[in-house]
Amino acid sequence: MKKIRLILTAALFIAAFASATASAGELNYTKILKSIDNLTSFKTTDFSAVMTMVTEDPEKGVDKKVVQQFRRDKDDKFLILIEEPDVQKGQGYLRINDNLWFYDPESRRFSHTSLKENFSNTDAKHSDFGRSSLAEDYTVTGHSEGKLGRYDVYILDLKAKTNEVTYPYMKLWITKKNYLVLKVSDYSLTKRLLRTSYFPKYAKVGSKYTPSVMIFVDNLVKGKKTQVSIKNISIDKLPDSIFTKSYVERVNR
Amino acid sequence: MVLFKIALRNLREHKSKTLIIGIIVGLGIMILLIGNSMMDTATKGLAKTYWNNFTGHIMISGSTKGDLTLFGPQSMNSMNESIPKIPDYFKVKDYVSSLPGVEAVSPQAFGMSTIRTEGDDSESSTTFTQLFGIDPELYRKMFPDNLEITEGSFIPEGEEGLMLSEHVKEALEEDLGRKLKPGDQVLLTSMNDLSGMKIREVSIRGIFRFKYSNPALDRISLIDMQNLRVLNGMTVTAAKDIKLSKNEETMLNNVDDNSLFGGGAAGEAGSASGSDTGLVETATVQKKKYTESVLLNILGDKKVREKLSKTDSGAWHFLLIKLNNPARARRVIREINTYFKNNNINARAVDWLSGAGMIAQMSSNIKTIFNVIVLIIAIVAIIIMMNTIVISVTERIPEIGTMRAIGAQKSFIRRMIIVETLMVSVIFGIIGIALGGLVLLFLYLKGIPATNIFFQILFGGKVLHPVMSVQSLVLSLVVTATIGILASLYPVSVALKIQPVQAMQRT
Amino acid sequence: MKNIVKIAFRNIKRQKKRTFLLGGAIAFGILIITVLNGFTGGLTDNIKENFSAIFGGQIFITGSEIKDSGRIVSVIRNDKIIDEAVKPVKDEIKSAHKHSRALAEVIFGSKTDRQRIDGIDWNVEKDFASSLPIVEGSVKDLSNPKVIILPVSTAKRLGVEIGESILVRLSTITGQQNVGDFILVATVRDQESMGISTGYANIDYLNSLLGMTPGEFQVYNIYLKSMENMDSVGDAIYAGLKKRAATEERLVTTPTANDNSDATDSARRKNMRRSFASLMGSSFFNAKNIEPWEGTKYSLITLNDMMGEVTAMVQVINTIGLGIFVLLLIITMVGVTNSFRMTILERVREIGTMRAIGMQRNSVRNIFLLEAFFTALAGAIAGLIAAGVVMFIVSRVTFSSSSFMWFFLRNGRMTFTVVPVNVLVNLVILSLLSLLAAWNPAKKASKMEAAQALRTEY
Repeated sequence: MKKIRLILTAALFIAAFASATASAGELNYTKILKSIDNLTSFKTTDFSAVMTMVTEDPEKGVDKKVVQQFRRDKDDKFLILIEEPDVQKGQGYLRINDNLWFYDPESRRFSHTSLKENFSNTDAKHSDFGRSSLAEDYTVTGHSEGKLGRYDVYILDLKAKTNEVTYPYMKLWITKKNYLVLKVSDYSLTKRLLRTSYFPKYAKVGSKYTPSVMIFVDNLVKGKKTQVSIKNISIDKLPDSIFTKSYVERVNR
Repeated sequence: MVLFKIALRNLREHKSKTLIIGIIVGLGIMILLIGNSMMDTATKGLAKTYWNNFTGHIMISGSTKGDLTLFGPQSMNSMNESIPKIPDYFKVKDYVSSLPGVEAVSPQAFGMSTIRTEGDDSESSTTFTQLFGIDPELYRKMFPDNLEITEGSFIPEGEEGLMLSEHVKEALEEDLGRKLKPGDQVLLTSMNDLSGMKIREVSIRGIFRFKYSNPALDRISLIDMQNLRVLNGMTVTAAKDIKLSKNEETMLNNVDDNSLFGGGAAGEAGSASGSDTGLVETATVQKKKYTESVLLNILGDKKVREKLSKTDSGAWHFLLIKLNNPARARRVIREINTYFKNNNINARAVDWLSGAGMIAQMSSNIKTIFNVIVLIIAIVAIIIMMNTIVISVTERIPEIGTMRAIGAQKSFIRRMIIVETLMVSVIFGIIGIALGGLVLLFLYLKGIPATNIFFQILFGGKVLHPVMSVQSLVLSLVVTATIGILASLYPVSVALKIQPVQAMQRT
Repeated sequence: MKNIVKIAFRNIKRQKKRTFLLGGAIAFGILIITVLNGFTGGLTDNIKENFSAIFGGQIFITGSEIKDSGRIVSVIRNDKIIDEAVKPVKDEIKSAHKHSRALAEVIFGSKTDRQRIDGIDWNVEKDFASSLPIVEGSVKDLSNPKVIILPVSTAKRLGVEIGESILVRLSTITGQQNVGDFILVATVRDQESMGISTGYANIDYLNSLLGMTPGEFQVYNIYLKSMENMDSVGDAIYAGLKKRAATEERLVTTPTANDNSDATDSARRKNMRRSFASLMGSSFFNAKNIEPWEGTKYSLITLNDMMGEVTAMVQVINTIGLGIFVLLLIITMVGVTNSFRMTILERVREIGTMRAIGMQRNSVRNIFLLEAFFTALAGAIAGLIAAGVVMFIVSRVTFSSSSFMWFFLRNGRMTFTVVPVNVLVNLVILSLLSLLAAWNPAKKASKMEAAQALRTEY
């Protein structure tokens, strides 16, 4: 189950932090959040990419996974096909609305899981991975300017508006120039650093930016980190047939 | 002969005394016999239940640090620890089958999966089942009579299918809101480290419950091994092949603000400030036309997967062995382990109890406690018997003095008294055994019902039919004789130490 | 009368060896009876306590609220309704405690493990910590709010030692990520083999991590004075709750042991599935088709619902204990009777002499009865002393903690529950039985004609 979560988390982050193009004028930090939110999903176009995920776990060693991802956010659809490791090649996760199916190419069968359902023993629901709503969920409680590496950044402190948001506090580092999110820290209710996400590379897709390299560091479990690199990004229209069970079956034939 | 006559006469003379000692001896022996026989029957019952229904006499598994049980991990937290395969399975199986005294062998494996039905999309089901992967033919041969099949029939030889536990079936029906019957297809989904999530569609061949079940066994279903191997990821190629590009390695090694976002030196940073240089790359973006043929070839060569997913036809977790003569188990285990050692096979053979899981071990332990209690009762009985005999002999000290005075040898008197007590204990001991046998026969015919699940586990069934065990019979006889001799030794020696005159004076 | 007592004493003294043997037999009987009684008593007490300790009581009440977002939150904010529901059966309750409960990820270095953690108010539940089966460390000082007690196998998997800090990642009741740091002060023997393993922490600190205020809690645990009343008390409290608030459908209690029909089997299994789910904190069961409700909705479950086998086990041991007691009593008494019969037979001449010099029949009888009584009493007292010594020595021995024997032990030691009333009853029974045992022979002796008795050649 961890693996699905990883895939979905990565998928989310591509959407969540595809940054706004620079907007001139006075600084309104809430507005920055909004503009990030507005551009979180590819509402008007489709999106496809190949993601390579490398996980380093001091206990379990290194694991690598390559997946092909197709998304159509306006219809709440996505398809994730595993390309590597070879033994899992062709396994797929197909989401249509609130339904999520897993496909096993060997038995040629789909298995259904509800998005409403909790992930195995966690409080994260499948649906949590689908949308980003920074402006909806958080208020900006503090801001400053600074440097991150060689970039000039705004540093925003966010606080969750309700007590039902998974991460109660966040800190964002955003480039001054065009509001690209470079780094995010997630904090617990006790303000302990839980996870740090880095977005050191972006790709320009049409008028939008999307991270092409992401690194997630678990700040609680020593030495556990994941790197996601995204290749073959495209926002060209995808055939409708992709988001169907029959395509998942046919591609495995 | 004279000795016997005198002894008999003495006994007849002191009729009431003889009777008293006799009754105590008889009663004690009877209690000992009944108690021991019941315990033995129960112990054997439990062992037999497990031998004939679940474990056979010997279990072979791959070597691990911890203990393995046939019934999988015994706790939630140890679920992630995987069970090793038996290395060189075919060699091991051939060797074991060739051993003399081996009646049957049956390989087995353990797995777990969720179970649902296809098209059951509206609500997700969360019914779990534990799985025993079996070879239907060998399993049936080894355990011909361990299942009560309530619907359908057993998986035919060499075919695939699922024998669904009645308990799991009920849980699933509750989840689905409809009934299931043999012939229905179900989807088993499970997760393993190697091949990720796996689904198998199998058809329900039958619904069953184990004849002797307990809560730990209620959720176990039987499945053909081929399907379980896929679910468990028991493939020929065991290791994952992970190749990292240089870039990927360095990226993971240096995770900090400066190495990721450049800079460090102030001057350099200033020049780059506000610029996207190096941050935004365009190379990753592609114009891509997803034509039909591109889409269908996205995965490239799929043969690799087939090759890698090929299951290992010799992958089993356990090999169970049934012997003609259970008493030889210890010797056979030693023999097999020596063979493993000599042939460098990283496997081990253990007795059935090690593989039988918590409930069997627990009831076996509880029996030990009860055995100790029976033993204590027996000791009490013996001590009281001896006490009575001692009193009776002590009372005869004047008589003994008289006999000594008229010239009887010390050895004669010693022998006389020993023969006397021995006769009493043997005669009444046998009466006690006979009475105990009668009581046991009655209990056997009537059966002692196990009134709750705990007794059921303890008895190894719903009714206990105690059988007089050879062991307890021999024990009773030995005890009888020992009592006779021991009980007279001490008082006789006391009596003989006394001078005849002195003895006669004591009235 | 005084003379009779004197004679009885003289007789006892005169035949020291016999008295010693007879008294010894009685002493031994009493010794074994007392030790065994104490043993089975201790056994059942320990089983009950250990199981109650694992679950933290015998009756459990949980409450849940439903949020506008549809999220179900497990919390009891106010105990008034429970207090009222509990009032009618107050006399049956030994103590009641309010616990919090979290399913958390414990982290030490790069190792993680999942663990259920119960929040305990150490100040209120003073005996709780000392009743835990401690393997390592100490629970003497729990004043630091950050102390945590973990099952030994969890600590082993994490590789954490006593005194080291661990992180605990959990979700607040509303689903927010939270982390607390704790100091491991002790490890307890885990009950993983029963499918349960629990860590323990300070309730106020755990509450703050769970996003609850002090005073709020999740589980209301009730310890009963007598486990036998679990079902009836549970039913009564449930009825009380139902009258006052929304309640979750009560799980059927375990059907009686003798009822083995398929229908009840199936009901029992259904019951076990549900209780297992609720025990594991899983919301699977009510996940579908939830009808919103107002305020707090209560549910109640008893130890019997979850572990019907435990009561069965206790019953078995009690039955066996009683059986053994009766058996031992019979054996001892037969021994005593017979010895007395012999004594009297042997003293026929003496009796004859006494009668001849004009002693009353009753007095002759009384001499024997008193003799029997004193011997039995002396033996019994000696037996009791010996039993005390044996139990003291045995209870000092600490058994290996790894084995399943843990269920029967208390902190790795065998305990003996000696109920003074029972001891007294045993003594009275034994003395009465000795008198009874001596009655017939004594009466026989007293009925003897002096002349005939003197003539008897024995």
